[in-house]
Order: sequence, then structure tokens, then C-alpha cells
Amino acid sequence: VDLIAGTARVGVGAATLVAVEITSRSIRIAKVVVPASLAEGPLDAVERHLGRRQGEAHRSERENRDNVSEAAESVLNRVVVGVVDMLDMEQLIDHVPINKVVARVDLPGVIDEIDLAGVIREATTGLGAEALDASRAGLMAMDLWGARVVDRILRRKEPRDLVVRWNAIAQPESANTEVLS
Amino acid sequence: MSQHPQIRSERGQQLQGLRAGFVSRAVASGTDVVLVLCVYVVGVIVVSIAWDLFFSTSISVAAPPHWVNALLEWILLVAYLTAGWWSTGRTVGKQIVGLRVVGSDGSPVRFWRALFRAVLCASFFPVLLLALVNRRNRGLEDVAFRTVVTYDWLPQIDQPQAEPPVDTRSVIEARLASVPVVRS
Repeated sequence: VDLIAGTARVGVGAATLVAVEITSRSIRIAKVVVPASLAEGPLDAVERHLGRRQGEAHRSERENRDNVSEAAESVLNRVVVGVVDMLDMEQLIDHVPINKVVARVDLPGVIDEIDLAGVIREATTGLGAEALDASRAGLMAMDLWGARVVDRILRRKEPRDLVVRWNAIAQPESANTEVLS
Repeated sequence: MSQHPQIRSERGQQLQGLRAGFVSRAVASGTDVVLVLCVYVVGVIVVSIAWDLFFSTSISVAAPPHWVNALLEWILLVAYLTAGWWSTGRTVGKQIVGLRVVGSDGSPVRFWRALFRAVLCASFFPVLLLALVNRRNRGLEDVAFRTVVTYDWLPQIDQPQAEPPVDTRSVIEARLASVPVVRS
């Protein structure tokens, strides 16, 4: 209904614009033909009125056109959804030559585009690095635990001095076995 | 902010550059020894088969005498350890565990020092046991050859960089320029 009403409004607007344009041109011709003393008063008033009408008609025509395009899109969507709902997909797929379609796809080209080797390489590298980091961290924990046990047996009260001289500035003050364990 | 954002483990980040403990070092050394043994066994098999292919009618794997095996393994181990410590401070085992051997001043280990250290380590494995009780995690080989084994997971962190030379004159001039001049 919106679509029909909108389309009608667009038609009326267009007709108005044509009529205004014809009248405007007629007045211009009349102003040339008719003597100036007779034409100046009424014809000028009519021309001003027509100018206003023309502006309004343009504005109205733009609005109507937008409304009609929105309504048309909505109607089209509904129609497509309705048609798709009506279709029997199983039967449709039976009629589509899938094998021919797949045969026409350039699979090696698609795989080349994807860079499958790169994806696999990145995934495995990330997993490997994580596993390696976890193993190293486990060994570090065992280092600290072993040192603590030995220090306890030897009844040491001071933590081990792990900071090397050339790294002393870069290392935090807390870099000892007590804090890190 | 972390100093080593590439390292995911928090403990790993905290301990980078510190003296490595006994367990990590023992695992790295064990890995190296196993690797050298594997290389030796494969080498003996390949050489034996290659020899038989050219100079014998039948193919068999030779079993060298025990002392030959021990000597060749020792030589291979010494050469391998020396090459690793002298070149990058790492052997494959240390690379896996994330350790590096450097001089006590942070400098790379020189050839002769690496060689003698390798000879000591290959000849007498228990030298590492001292790291278990030493307060600075130093093994006998570290004490004897003034080396340090540190945690160093990232290959790009190489030796400590020397501080750039300070231009004393420019520093003094800059400080003098910042002093306000009092005029009487």
C-alpha cells in the first residue's frame, strides 16, 4: 500500500513540476508579447507564486522518491523471503549439478591464495614455543626448589646470590630465591 | 612493564640473566651427552656400512673395542662442547633449556677457555654437583675457568653492551650553561 501511495505521490509531484514549468515559460513569453504596463502587475505576482510552488514541488518530489525506494526495498525483501520459503530446498539441490560446479572451482588456486603452509607453520610454531616456555619455566621452578632444599639442609639463612655483576643494574632488587620462589 | 614481553612465563621473565640452577644445567648437559651419543652411534653405523660397501663382500655393522668407543665419544663431546660455548655460548642442550655460558665479566667465552672447560666437563661429569651447594650456583668448571651460566631464553639477547663513552667536556659545558648567571 505504501509503495502504491508513494508511487502515486511521485507521479502527482512530477505532473505538478511539469505544469509549473509550462506555466512559467508561458508567462515569460506573455511578458514579451503583452505590453509592459499591462503585464507587470498580475504576471509578476503569478510568477512569484509559481516560483514558490516550484520549490515546494521539488522538495516534495525528493521526499516521495526516498519513501518509494524504501517501500520498494521492503516489498522486494518480503517477496524474496516468501519465494525462498515456498521452495523445496531438497528438490532444488537435487537439480543443481554440484559436481560440475565443484569441478570448475580452481582448488589449488584457492589453496595457494589461503597460504595454508603459512597458517600451519604459524600455529605449530606458537604451540611449540608455548610448550618450550612451559618446560623451561618448570625447570626454573625445580632449580629454585632444589636450591631451597639444599640451603635448608645446610642451614643457610641468606638466599642465594643469583645476580651476575654486569646484570646487577638491570635486575630488580627482588631477584633472589626468596621472592621468586 | 615487562623487560622481555616475548616470554610468556612470569617466572621466566623475572629470572632472565640470572645464574642458572643445578637442575636446568643438568638437563642441558644430559641432553648434550645423549645427542653426542646418538650422533656417534649413527656415525659408526654409517661409516661401517660405507666401508663394507667399498671394501667387503658382505655388509655388517662393526663393534669397535670399548676403549675406542670411549675415546671417540670423549673427543666428539669435547669438540661439540667447545664449538658451542666458543661460538654462541650455547650447545643444543643449553639452547633447548634456555641457558648461555659467558665469562664472569659477561664477555663471550674464548676458544682456549671453552676447550679446557669442555675437557674438564667431558672428563668428569660430577663437576656440576658443586652448583647444587654453591651460593652462586657455580659448578667446579665455573670456578676453575671463571665462567657463568645464565638463564637466557631469547637468542637475540646477546652479550651485555658496553656503555657508550661519555663526552666529559660536553657534559661540563651543558651543566655550566644551565647555571644562572648572577650579575652585580
